[in-house]
This record gives sequence, structure tokens and C-alpha cells, in this order.
Amino acid sequence: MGSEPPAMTSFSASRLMILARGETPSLMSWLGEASARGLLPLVCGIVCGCGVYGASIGLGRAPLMAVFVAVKMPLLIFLTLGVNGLINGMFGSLLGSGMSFRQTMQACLMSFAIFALIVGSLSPLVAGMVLERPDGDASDVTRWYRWFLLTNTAVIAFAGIVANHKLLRLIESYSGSRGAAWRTLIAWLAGNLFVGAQLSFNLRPFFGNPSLPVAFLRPNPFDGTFYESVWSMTLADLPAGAGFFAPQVVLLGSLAAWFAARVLGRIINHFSKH
Amino acid sequence: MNSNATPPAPASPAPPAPPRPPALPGAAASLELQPFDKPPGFLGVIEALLKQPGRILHECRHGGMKVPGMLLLGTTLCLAVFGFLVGTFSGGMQCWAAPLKIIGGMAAAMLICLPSLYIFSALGGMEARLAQVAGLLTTMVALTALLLLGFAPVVWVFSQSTESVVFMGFLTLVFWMISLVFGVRLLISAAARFGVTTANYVVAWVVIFFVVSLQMSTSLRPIVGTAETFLPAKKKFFMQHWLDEMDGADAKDRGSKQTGAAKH
Repeated sequence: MGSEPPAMTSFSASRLMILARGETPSLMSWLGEASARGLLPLVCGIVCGCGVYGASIGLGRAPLMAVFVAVKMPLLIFLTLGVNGLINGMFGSLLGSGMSFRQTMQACLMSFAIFALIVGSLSPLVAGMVLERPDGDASDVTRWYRWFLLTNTAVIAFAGIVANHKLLRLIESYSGSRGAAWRTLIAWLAGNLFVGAQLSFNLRPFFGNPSLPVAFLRPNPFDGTFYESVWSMTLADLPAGAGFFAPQVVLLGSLAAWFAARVLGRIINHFSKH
Repeated sequence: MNSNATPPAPASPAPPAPPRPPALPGAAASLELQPFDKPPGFLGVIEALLKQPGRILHECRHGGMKVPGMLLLGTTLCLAVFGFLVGTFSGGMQCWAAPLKIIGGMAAAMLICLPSLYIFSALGGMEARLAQVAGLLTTMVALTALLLLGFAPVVWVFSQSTESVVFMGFLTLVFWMISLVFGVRLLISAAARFGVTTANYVVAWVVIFFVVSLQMSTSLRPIVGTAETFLPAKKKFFMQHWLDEMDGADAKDRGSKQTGAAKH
């Protein structure tokens, strides 16, 4: 940080564009701002971007669903950050990001704001797909629904990858260490994915099952967890008798994940030294 | 864990090479033993635990009781909050029993393992008094407890969503293990700063502490879930207890599936 960072404009849209371009000096200066003014553009970006995208998704089911999902998408992000705020801040300090709790929260908000900008910018595409939905033949509708889910999966994956790449660069610039940046990013990402999956399960429906009535939440939003649901679905798909081996498979999978994490850590350490 | 704490063999008899800092990231990398700029308050100690643990270790090294005392207080508070949120899974008596058992279990594990840490660290080459070793142990446990506090909101979200004792027990155990890993990292790098030349003995002690903590969770059961008595009537080894719990959950699943099939 040799040169003086450029002055930050207070206009939200301009700041979001600075965020999208990833102008490191300006972003570092932004992270240093300890006022609500620094958070406002990010909150606005997330509410607008995810709101518009949520509305496009919900439109696939019904106009009322569009309103519901437009509210729930930003809510999901804020709840995830709220639940994980404390542990993310601790990991940030312990893993060498050099950020305070407030800066950790702001950096995560920046990442989600980039995500929101991308999905928001692609929401016309999703809305266009909804408007082009075939009616009549059930097989056509089923085919369209598969493409709709696949497109949204691709949109979310792309936005997630770009947002995390930008976050990695930001942490790297702040900490001055590539290894610390990777470790911090992986810890934050793991926590946010773990909690985000559960909260999205609590806040379902998002896409809206055509066979169920339109609703803001299911009648039993706190009945069960995402992971128990995945587990029971996996067991149900296994052939008879194979369920006996499921714990062993999970144990082996955990060991493989641990080994993969160790190898990944070594690779990161290797590259961070060069 | 890190085994790079061994200093390189000196090329000539004198002067002896200073202990090499461990090649650990984050907290360990900033583990420079230096005093606090001014007498720290409670929040200052907690912040230093995360960002500059070397300051706390400096206090432990020089025998001050104020900082370890604050760490013990912080540990108790963190475990109390974490335990309360774990207790909300079952509600009722568990809201106060779970935090009490978690705090008591951790205190018992510390007391049981302190003598072995003292001896094992001496075997590894550390020159420290019992009070200094106790300070190290307190620092490790305090960091573990602080991280558990960070996980507490996540535990609460899941405690409100599931009724499965096995799932909640597994989740709590995973969070406890993640937190302990960070505590152990700090202990090992601190031990290297305190003169330990080989980390193997400390690593062996970590295994002992791990097993003792797991056994405490079984001896004080139930921490997750409910029971008729405050403490268990039957003594069990923790592996046996977990296998029994998983078998019970499987039997329950099978029973509910059969009931469901009969209804259809």
C-alpha cells in the first residue's frame, strides 16, 4: 500500500462498480471505513441483486411466489452471515487474514454483493426462460423444468466462483500472504456453505414444488435438517441391505476428505512460498 | 500436527542454535513472546488470544496470575453460553445441566491431564514450572472455548431444527474437535517457544487429553438429550456409549419405517 488510495465515492452504484472491478486500493480503503456508510452500498446491492434474482426464480411457480423468494433470497444471505459472523471473525484472526470482526463481516458482505450483482444481472435471462415456459404437454414442461434448474445451478455456481475469487484477492491484499488468504477463504466458505444449506432448508421453498401450494414457508420449516434429509434420501436410494454399510462409507468418505484437505493444504503452502 | 518444531542440529558445539519457530500459520506465525503495552482488560485478553497469543504466553511465562485468571473466567463464560445453547436442544433441566456438565467436564479433564502435560513437556525438553504449564493449558482450553462460543449460533440453528440426538451429538463433537485443533496448534507452537525440542511428547499428550475429554462427555451424560437422572447410573466407555446410541437410532429408524409401511 505504497500510494494513497483513491477517495471513495459515497454513491452506492459507483461503489458497487468499484467492487465489481476489484480495484484493490479502493477496496482496502473501503474496508477501513468504520461507519454504516461503508455497509449501505453492500446491503443495497445484496437486497436488489438477490431480490431481483429471487423474483425471477419464484416467477417460475407463481407471481406471489416471486414476491416471497425476492424477500427470502437476501434474507438467507443476511441470516447466514449473522449466524456465522462470530466464528468467521475468529477464523479470520486465527488464520492470519489480519482483519477485525467488522472487516471480516464487511469482506464477506462484499463477496456476497458481487454474487448478488452477478445473479441480479443474469435475472433477465432467468425471467426470459420463465416467460418461455411451454404449456400443455407434460413432458415438455418437465424438460423445461430440468433446463430451468440446470441454468440456475450454473448461474449460482458461476456467481459463487467469481465472488470467492474476488474475496480471495481481497484477503490476499489485506494479509499479504497467499497461504493465509486461502486458509481463511476455505474456512469462511466451509462455514457459510454448511450453515447456508441448513438455512435454505429452513426457508424453503425457493423454486416451489408445482404440487404444493404457494407459501412463504413450509408448514414445518424447523422440522428436520438439510443433512438428515440428504442422509435419508441417500439411504432410500440404496439397494436393500446396503444401508448397513452407510456408516462405513461415511467414515471412509470423511477420511478421504481429511486426506484431500491435507493435500490441498500442502499444495497451498507450496504455492504460497513461491 | 507440526513436527517441524525440532531445532536444527548445531554445526559446532557453541554457541547453541536458538529454537526454530514452528512453521505454523496464523496464530503461531505471530507467536512472538512480548509483554502487553499496558495492563490488559478482560476484552483485551480475549482479543490477544485470537490475534497476539504471544502476549498471553509471555504473561504465563512470567508467572502472572491475572491473565490466566481472566482466561479461566472467559473459558467459563464461553462454555456456559455454548452449553446453554446445546441444552436448548432438549430444553427443561438441560438448559442449566448441559452448561454445568460441559464446564465441569472441561475442568476435570484439565485437572486430570495437567500432571501428564507437565511431565510430557519436560520429556520434550521444556523447562517450565507447573504454574507456567498450567498457564499454557489454560490458554489452549480458553482458545478452544472461545471458538466453541463462535460455533454456538450454528449449534442453536441446528438444535431448533432436528430431534435426532445422534445428529446433534455428532455436530457438537465435530465443532469441539475443530476448536480443539486450533487450541492444540497454539499449545504446540507455544511449547516450541518454551523450549520443547521434539513435539512428539506433546502430541502424545494431546491424544491423552482428547480421549479424557471424550470420556468425560460420556461419564457426565447426557449432555445432549435427556435422562431420568442428572448423572448416569451405568458406567460406560465412550466408544461403547456411541455405538449403543447409533444402534438405538438405527432401531428407531427401522421401527418408524415399519410403522409407516404398515400405515400404507
